[in-house]
Amino acid sequence: MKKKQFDVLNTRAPRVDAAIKATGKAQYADDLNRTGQLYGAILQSPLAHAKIISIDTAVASRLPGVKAIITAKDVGLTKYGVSPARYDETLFAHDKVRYVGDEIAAVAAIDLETAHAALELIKVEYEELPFVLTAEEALNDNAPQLHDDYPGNISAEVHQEFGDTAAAFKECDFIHTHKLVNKRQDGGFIEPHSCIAEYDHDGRLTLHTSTQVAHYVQRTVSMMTGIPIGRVRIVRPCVGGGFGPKCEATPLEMSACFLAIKTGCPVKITYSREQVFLHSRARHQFYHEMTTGFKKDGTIMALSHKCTLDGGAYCSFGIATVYYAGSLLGAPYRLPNMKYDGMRVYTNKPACGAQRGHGGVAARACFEQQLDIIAEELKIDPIELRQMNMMETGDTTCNALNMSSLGMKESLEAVQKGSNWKKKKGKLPAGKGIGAACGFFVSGAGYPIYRSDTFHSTAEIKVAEDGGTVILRSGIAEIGQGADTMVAMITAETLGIPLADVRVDSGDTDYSVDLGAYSSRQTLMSGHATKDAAENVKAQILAVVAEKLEVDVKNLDIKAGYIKIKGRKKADIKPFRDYYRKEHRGWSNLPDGDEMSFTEAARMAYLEKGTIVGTGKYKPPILGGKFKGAAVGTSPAYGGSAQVVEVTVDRDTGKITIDAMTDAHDCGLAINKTMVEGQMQGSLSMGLGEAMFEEVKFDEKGQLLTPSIGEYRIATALDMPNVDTIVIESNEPNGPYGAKEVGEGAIMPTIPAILNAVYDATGVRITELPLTPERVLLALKEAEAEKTA
Amino acid sequence: MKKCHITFQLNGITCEVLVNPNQTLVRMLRDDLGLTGTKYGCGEGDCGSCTVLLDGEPVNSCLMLAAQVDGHQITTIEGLADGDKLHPLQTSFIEKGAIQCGFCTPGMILSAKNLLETQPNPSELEVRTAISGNLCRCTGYQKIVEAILATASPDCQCSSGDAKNCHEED
Amino acid sequence: MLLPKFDYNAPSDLEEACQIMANYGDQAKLLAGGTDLLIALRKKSVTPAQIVALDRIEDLEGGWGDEEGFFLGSRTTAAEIAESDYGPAGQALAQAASQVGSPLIRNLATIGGNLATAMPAADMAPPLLALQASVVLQKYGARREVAISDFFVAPGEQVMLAEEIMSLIFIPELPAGSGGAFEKLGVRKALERSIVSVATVISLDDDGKTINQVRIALGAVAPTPMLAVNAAAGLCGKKATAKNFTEAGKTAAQEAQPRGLRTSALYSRLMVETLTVRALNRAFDAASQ
Ligand code: FES
Ligand code: FES
Repeated sequence: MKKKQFDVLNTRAPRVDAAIKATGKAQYADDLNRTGQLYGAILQSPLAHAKIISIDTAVASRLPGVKAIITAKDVGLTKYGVSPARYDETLFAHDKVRYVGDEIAAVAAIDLETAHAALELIKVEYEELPFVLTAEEALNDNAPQLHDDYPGNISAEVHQEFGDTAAAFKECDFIHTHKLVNKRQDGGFIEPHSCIAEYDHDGRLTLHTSTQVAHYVQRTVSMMTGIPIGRVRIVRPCVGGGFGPKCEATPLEMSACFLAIKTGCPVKITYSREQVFLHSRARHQFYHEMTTGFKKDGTIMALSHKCTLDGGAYCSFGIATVYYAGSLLGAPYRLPNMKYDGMRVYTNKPACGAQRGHGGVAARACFEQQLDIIAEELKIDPIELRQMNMMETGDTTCNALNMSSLGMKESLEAVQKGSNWKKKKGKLPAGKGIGAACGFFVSGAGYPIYRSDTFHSTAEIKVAEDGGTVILRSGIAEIGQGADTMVAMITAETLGIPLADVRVDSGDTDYSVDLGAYSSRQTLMSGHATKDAAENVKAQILAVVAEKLEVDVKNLDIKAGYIKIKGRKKADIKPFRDYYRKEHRGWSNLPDGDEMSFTEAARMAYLEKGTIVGTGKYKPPILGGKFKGAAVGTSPAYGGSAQVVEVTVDRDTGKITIDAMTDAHDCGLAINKTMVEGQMQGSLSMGLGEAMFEEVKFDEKGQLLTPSIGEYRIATALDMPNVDTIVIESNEPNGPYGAKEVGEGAIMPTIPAILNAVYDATGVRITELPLTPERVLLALKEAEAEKTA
Repeated sequence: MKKCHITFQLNGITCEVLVNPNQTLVRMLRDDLGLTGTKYGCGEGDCGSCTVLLDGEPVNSCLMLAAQVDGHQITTIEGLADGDKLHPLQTSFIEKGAIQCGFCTPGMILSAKNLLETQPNPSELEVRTAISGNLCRCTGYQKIVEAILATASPDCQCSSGDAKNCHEED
Repeated sequence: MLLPKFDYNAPSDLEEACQIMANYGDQAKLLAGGTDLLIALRKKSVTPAQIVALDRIEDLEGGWGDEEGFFLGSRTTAAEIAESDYGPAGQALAQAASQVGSPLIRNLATIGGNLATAMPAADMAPPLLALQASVVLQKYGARREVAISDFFVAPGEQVMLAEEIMSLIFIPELPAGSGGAFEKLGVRKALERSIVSVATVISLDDDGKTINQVRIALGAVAPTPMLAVNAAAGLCGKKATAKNFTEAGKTAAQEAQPRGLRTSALYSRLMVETLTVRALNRAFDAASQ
């Protein structure tokens, strides 16, 4: 089928926000300042687990310049969190602290120096409690308990079985068990969280904040402060990256709000880099154990999967995480039988949450190694084995995920070719290796985080009264991924006007409902809502044009900024043109030619009907299975990706160099090819970082050992090879113009492809991340010793 | 704490400031002078988002006291465009898709500017080395490297993933 | 993010700086490149009442040589050193400087600061040890020269008195037929503290094969940067062969005193061995040119 031709979509249009970002004009939360603003600071626990005996703020509040101090006494004990079923946090700890960094109080003062000085004057008396720092310790019978409501330190538990794994294993010719443990991650965004809260004396609260989810922040702030939701406005300025950890309302935001309410002054708070690590809410540490059964011919029969997640002190996104860790293995291979036992455990460390590839990254890393192990055993090329078992468009997984479009075979073929796999696999010189892996991800969560029939996205498009510009107002979260550009392009395409004539105002809860930037949902869901709004506007304008020109509206269209009339050669637009010209006497750039411009038509519509505003909305249809937890993993569409990585292993130091990465991703229609590649390339570097360098570490008392981005180590430009990104475009029936996700799925294959390449280079399977030189060298030595023994 | 009286060139304009001795350069630029194009990502020299040019050379402005710039020239991202004309690196970053969240962008562009002044025809490795103190979490650096190489040789038409091939002939 | 309160002094010559330091003693901290000091101030691990900035003192900048050797101003930046040509032996220092932190940090960080901070992993310490450098320490009315091998005391500690300022680094001239090399192992390719670093300097006999003198210096594997004395002694008078280099690597690994902080002691020792051999090979190549 020939691809549809677009005027705006499927191009490499520069981002709509690129110029302000290139010139330093873009404003991020910490760049905002307000007259009379105060500076906030947060007191955090120095202990991993302790009873709070008393909190004394008297001395601190007498410090000149201190305007307010708040503790649990002032803000109450309303429980909040991500999933309403698992609200387990209060803004400030009152009875006990559960990790180093647990919030106890917040201060607003005339400057930051004073705010920090005040923190030091707050006296907190603690009684230390025994603590648990690993999932294993936390599950011991006599382990110290974090939450009364969650005995045994079990934050969430999942037991699922699809098909009959026991029976299936009996039919298998080959069964293999493999383990993998990753390390706790950090989002590693370069902009620390920051916000500024303002409260007016009419009882209205405005919060500018660096968030991915203004909508959820609005709800949480309203719930916590008791201010009616209509009076809480959340505005998202430019955001310097999120990747998951900015997906929930933070103590930073709520502290700023309470302090602003109490003082009547604007209050700004910004996390230090150390506080970013303490707030965390990034990727969990997962302990995976997978047993996979195969037939001789390479058919995958069954997977039995156990997983334990070290969750930290609170639930955050954890309940979704533990489900995703299982459900995302349902595809992209035909897997008829799957059993999953997952458990998320509380420990006395900062809470983990969602991060790019939510829940599925470590699981994928483990499973894709399994496939390679079995391919080797069966003497089948690992890419062939994958192709043999690959799902196709229209397939449904054993856990009821419907692959409404799936360009996985094409993706895998593309990387096989692009990397020159056949010439390299098995033929590289010593120390060099090549590995492949695949992955897939949801294109938007099928359900909102709270139980509701809410639309997942709404949008409002207003046509400027002068007709020249279209203004899209949307709650979407532009966090760097290009959401603003995506909706601008959809608006322009749908309306048939040039991209330059669309302006996007986004990220304000006053504009529309949008659940935000998570689960790779914006292109599909916000894209749909935008398209719907644009169609609405188009219909309104064309209705007026049809009436005025006395043409059947069915014969009207807009293209490249002009009204197109089917069937009749020419309409008499002269009277309207003359009128427009009269209205604009003395102006240059007046419409010309024998077609009516969009500007004239829009002006005409305004004169007839007043301001033209169109709204749009989207919510996914009822999807997926009926079993417990079916909501997690269910999505209107799925993106898929395949990757080949080449490495060099220095056998004397254990140091790995990533020489090449070839990645292909099926994103449906690529709304903007440059941006699609950008998402793929960013995913590769994050995956490479997790595989090779990144780890949040704690000492034996639960203190952060890696409180800086230098210690945490994200990849530098020198660590990244020149990568090849291949965009595969299937046609997604459930996506706007056939589009679906690319933001997260692209990270899935990176880690296992690296691990498989390292195995190819060394013959050694490494089952713990990251692949630091030390870990690799010691594994090589151990393998050598075993061989000689 | 006695304030320091300093005079320096800021984006080509003489600037006289009374500054606290314990004020870092990045905070003076952002908080006292309102030039928020210089970002603050870590405060420890780890991220490079605070990069400014000190007498033309890129440095971490979080690792300098404001008082140290007395008598020197500082260029920030705000000083790059010439009126309504963007610097070629800015144009290239925009066109090549080298910008996502944009938080690293000012620092990247300034590091790149210094590179191209000292080495007008850099290799890919030289580009990667020059920006190795500027972390970017969004782009994987690919399009940033391409944008810098494209500025150096504007005739080269690498759109994506081609930086290597394109520059191998050089 | 905030720094403690202090006063700022920016003397314009060494004499004035010495005077200021004589006045304030341990109340004051010297500010050279600032890449370590500003972080320490931020963490409040130092809280001096006075900061004495050295950046206006021109005498502390640049390098010059005479027949005895080469002098480097203590404020010479890592970037400047990385781009300098110090000959086949001195290139160990340039190589080390080119691997300090990042280009941004190299434009600020100075050789004097790198030494005075006295971190076990300081990049420029091993090459200077291997080059038998010394430092000139000045205070009001006095001046002394200290061999680098006597300079470091403990992590973060060296022999400088509170009122002393490091003015120069002196690298003695080496005989013809000398070569040096520096090897650093880090996790990433930039912005890295060394896991292990090794610098070696070899001087060959006229035959171009026999090792006349050699020094092997190790970074990040002991409380201070250190010389692997036995490994070097074992090589003196021997031929530059793979076997002898391997032997030297093994001895150096034994001499290292890794504390097992960031990597296991076992791994650190293995890396001392590997990097020593690599550095010796490269130093030999440089010496043979
Ligand atoms: S803020 Fe200066 S390097 Fe990160
Ligand atoms: S574009 Fe986001 S950090 Fe570089």
